[in-house]
Amino acid sequence: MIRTKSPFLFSLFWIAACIGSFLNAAEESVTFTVPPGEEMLTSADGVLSLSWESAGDGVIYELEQSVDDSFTNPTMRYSGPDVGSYLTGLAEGDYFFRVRAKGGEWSEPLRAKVTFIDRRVLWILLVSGFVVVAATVGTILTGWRKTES
Amino acid sequence: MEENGVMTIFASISSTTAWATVIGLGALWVLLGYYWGKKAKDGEGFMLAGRNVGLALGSATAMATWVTSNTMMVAPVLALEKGVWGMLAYSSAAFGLMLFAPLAIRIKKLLPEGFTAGDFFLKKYGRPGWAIFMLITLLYSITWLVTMAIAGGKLLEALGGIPYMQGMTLIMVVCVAYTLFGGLFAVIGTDFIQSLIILIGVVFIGVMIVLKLDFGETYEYVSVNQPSLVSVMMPAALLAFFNNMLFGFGEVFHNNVWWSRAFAMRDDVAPKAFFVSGLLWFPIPIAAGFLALAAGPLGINVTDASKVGPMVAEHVLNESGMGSFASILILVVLFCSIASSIDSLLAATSDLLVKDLYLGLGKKKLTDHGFRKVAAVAIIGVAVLAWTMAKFEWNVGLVLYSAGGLVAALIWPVIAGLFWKTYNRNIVLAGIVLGCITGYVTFFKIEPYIGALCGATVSMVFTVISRFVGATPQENYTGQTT
Repeated sequence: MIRTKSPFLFSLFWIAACIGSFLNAAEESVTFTVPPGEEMLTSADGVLSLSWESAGDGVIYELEQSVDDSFTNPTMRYSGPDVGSYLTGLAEGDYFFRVRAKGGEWSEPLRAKVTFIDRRVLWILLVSGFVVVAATVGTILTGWRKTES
Repeated sequence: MEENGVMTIFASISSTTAWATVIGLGALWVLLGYYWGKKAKDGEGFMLAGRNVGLALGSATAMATWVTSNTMMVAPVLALEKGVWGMLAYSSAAFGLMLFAPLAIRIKKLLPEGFTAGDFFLKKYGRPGWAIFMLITLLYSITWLVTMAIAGGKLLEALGGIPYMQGMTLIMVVCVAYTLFGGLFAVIGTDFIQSLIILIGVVFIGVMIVLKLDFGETYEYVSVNQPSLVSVMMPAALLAFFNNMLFGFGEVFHNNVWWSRAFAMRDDVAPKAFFVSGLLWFPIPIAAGFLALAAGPLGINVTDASKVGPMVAEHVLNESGMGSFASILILVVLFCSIASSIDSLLAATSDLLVKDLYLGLGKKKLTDHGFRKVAAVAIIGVAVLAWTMAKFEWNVGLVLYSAGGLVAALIWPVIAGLFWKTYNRNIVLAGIVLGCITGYVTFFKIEPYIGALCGATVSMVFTVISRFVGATPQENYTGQTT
């Protein structure tokens, strides 16, 4: 517990400590949190839930996305205080993400791969779906007409 | 809080305001429930509202029951993850209500004195078929009820800062109270008012979003950053479309919530009411889903997909200068959507327990007064079970969504039982069991959005085969060959 005779001096210490902690946080590299044993995220529907370790209160994070790990033409996906972002609607392909506390070092790139369901399986399922729905509707309407008449 | 155009928000009202809003609405429902409950003179009145429900009340109760917390909270998630097809996928559940219209006509003819869906399964598929049905429907109904209790608790916690247990308990107590007082009379009456509030609220929020958004910019943003959401050929979304539609068919066709309404409505009213309620319900998930598509263009960072709908709605209303009124409006709309489904599930599930288990299986006889007592115990029992499961916040959502195969496996047995003269009962029942197993296996082992599709497909194949292999004439409820 810090004790001073002057509240003014105490406030100065407190402000300096806050600034120091903020600057330290900004200098540290933020790292993504990924499930143990997984170096790459995978998705079958274009959805990725990214999260990263907190670097302290009040820190602003920046998240970038790129199609190559050298981030030659990155897109800013998020800038703000959250420690995660739920990305949806990604097309098939490889993606790389990096995150940092604003003004700090970028994290190691995190690779993600979006691969949709096999097209042959997809078509079989879609045709099945169409047949079942059409047969269901058709049978109900036919049955209704017959029983009504 | 805004930085580089991307922000995170989820402002809330004070817990006092949230308590006052929920208690105020709750008191109104209980008073109305008590008033309408006086009409229930006997057991049949309590269970089926005197079998005399008209078109306005009938349409409203079906629509309000189908607008659950899932419609307001999960439809946006489906749109956020699966885009335009995702919105349509959720809306396709409206076809379940519309298709129930011709089924309702047949149900009323075959079972003019019927009480529950269990009556139908017992007569058409014997004790084994009835047992399979009861197992599936009780599992499904209880988990559906628990998901809504959990959603209610979380909603009050997120919007009003009310601790989860207190909020969840409050919602359950309110719904139990007015269902106890008035039975189906109270449920249908309150559903009518709740459906009006839901419709007005959704239209209001939808208009505010349309005014706020530039559709050209929204499309451009989504095409660049979330291209699959506007892709015609997004595999997961296309599969979700058929899967959700069949999930909806299965839910409506088998569940006693809908059968009890069919029995409660007048003969000429039931088909019209189900068709109109489907039409009214259809745009609601699209409006709710559009909220999610607007999240990116509005610069809202989504961290928890399950909250995207209320988050965007609150943001838009706040931006329109509505302040805390925005949160109150969202709370009222969501509370109505949750209450209108909890009360229906409490009433319909307790009917099954009393009529099918206590009176049917237990072979008990009851006076009208005794019936009310047993029904009250059943309603409280179901509520306490749901409250206990909701208390531990078990992951019943997973159970509910994985049950798509279970309910979808009942679609064709219901159709066959209602419309076909001959079929082989054993093959139909084998199809239900194999459909359920296939639904679960495909949900957990292949993709979560194909469980209902695969379950329905297997059951359909078996049911069709049952018409040609060892088919025997079936008897309808009144003992005549149909």
